[in-house]
Amino acid sequence: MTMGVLRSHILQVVHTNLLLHMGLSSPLSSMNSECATSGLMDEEQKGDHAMTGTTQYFHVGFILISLANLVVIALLVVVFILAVVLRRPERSHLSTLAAPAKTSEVTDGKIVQTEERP
Amino acid sequence: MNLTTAIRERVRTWMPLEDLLPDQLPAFVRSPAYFFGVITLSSLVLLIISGIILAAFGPQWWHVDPIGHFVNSVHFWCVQAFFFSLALHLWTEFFKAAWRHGRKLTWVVGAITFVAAIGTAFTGYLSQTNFDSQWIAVQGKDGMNAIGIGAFFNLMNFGQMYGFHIVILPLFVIFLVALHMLQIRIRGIVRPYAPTLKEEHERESLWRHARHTASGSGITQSAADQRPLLSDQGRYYRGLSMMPYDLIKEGLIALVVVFVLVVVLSGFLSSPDDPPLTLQQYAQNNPVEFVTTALGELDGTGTIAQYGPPYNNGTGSIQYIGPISLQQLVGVTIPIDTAQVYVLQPLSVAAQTDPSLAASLQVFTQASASQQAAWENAYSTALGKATASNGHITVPSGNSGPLPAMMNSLLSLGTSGALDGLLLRSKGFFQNDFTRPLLFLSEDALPAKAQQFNMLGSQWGMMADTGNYPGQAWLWLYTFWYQIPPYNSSPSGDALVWVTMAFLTALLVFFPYLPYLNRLPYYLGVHRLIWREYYHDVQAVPGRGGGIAGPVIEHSE
Repeated sequence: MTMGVLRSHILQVVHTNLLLHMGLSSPLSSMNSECATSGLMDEEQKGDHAMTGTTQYFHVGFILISLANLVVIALLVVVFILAVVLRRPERSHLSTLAAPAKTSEVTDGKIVQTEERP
Repeated sequence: MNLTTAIRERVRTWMPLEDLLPDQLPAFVRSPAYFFGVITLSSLVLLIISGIILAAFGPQWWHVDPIGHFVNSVHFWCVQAFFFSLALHLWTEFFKAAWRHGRKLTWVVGAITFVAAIGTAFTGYLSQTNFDSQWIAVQGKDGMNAIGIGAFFNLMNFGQMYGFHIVILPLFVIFLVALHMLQIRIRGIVRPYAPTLKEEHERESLWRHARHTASGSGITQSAADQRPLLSDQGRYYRGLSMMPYDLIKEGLIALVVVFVLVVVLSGFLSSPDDPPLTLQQYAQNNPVEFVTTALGELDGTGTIAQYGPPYNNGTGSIQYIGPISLQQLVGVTIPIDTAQVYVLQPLSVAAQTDPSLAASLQVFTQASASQQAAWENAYSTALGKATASNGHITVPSGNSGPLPAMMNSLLSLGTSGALDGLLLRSKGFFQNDFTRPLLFLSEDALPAKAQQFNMLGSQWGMMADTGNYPGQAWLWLYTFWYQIPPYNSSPSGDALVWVTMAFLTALLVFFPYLPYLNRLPYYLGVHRLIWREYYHDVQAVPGRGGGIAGPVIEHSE
């Protein structure tokens, strides 16, 4: 499955569900034909809700992952990268928490004198 | 010694309100990488609320009523949001090596929470009472049985799984989360790595041996008392830039954002709910397969008939860990005589109002074992050429004895739905253990339907869901092992997977205690991106040449 097909399918799924919630028919109703041919599939399962249709899969070698799970994992990676790269807006009102010296401790690489907070 | 005073003083030392509910935090938290904990917590809060509503109204409500299904969808998307943010929280805390400076136990509790949450979600998926829950139950049972747990923790027993899901495991998770948060607030957020390993080691050495109790509370002043107090955040953060912070406001914002997100997803995408497969559907739609499966249970050639513990004394599915079979050690705890349970007992009930069937049943039960076997063999061969019409199986004439009549009666019980009820029958009034019908369906019907959804074990089925919904993606590693040798070729594959996962889980939980390996995040260097402003500030201070951080970074912006 190419990225183009993948993107196209995601858009189709979202589009179809939007249509369904607005009470309109979906162009994706043919997606369910494979499951509906089975004797083990209920009538209720033959509906034209794209999210309940035939599962779309990404298959490479022994890796077989549903499109939905693939999207979730891809989102995880993207959000992680964004979280590492982006900054929060707060930058002002910084202050320093200082305490008088008493005993030795390490603060950012230097042994300094400090004292326990009362 | 006054215990009340001692505890009060300990609490006062460990948990000053300024630290539990701080209004300023170190400036190095200026990164979205610090968001995921609170998002996870918000998802958990919404999970609990939606879960309480679902439990109050029950399974029929969330399957049939539109509002019930909507709340079910909210619960479903909350689970996805919870694990999404939990995975990110785990990743970011790993790259920050958040177990440093006396915080190993905080990591341990967090990792156990992750494992407990997976268990809670798994029992939730088992409690859906739809096709997905049926399939997960019969798929997962082999793993549970292989390590002996299946004898006590029966995935096909809806009542047991539901109890675990809505009471026992959530309480455990909530306790762990509360403990985890308390640990974080008492000890504070871990500082960034020092610019060099030598400096980091000095700081680690200082805080790893920090005192757990304050001086002067019955402890004499000694050399040991010169060590810092573990909960002394004032001392831990000394010299660092601080910034105003509103934890409560941040939590509320996260709660609203997650709520809006899951409501929107629920409204637009709903949630998976393929109806469960029944014996009636199986008998109506696939009568020949139904009778073939029933014959296998009668003549003892079916998978379940030969399975072994915890169902019977067969040997067909016994798994070993080295020379030991935990499955056999635990023994038969859920006894199922397949011939009696699936064929003879249901027919004996029907025979009470059917004299013809009663006669056939009597002929069969009074025949010798060898005669029964001969009939069964003949009928099994004849089934290969069977035809079905109007709920009746016709086989070529042969020496099958009373079996054609018996099996057609069983098929009638199946098509009428009576067999669904008969297999649920137990001594009690309320029936919520689906072990017997699910084991029957697991022979052929459930795998056939699961294959249409690409949910077989060889298709990474455990992490998939029906339709185009995300499944339990967090089970990817567990599912992965089933795809590669020796796991997918060994007769003890389930046991091997569980041993592997137990080892890897222990590795995750106790990672901070692994010498050398626990320095991995430092060498990976992702922390330099997360805390790059901090390192920039440290280097920018005049007189701190060579990138060595000084003790105090003055900011007054």
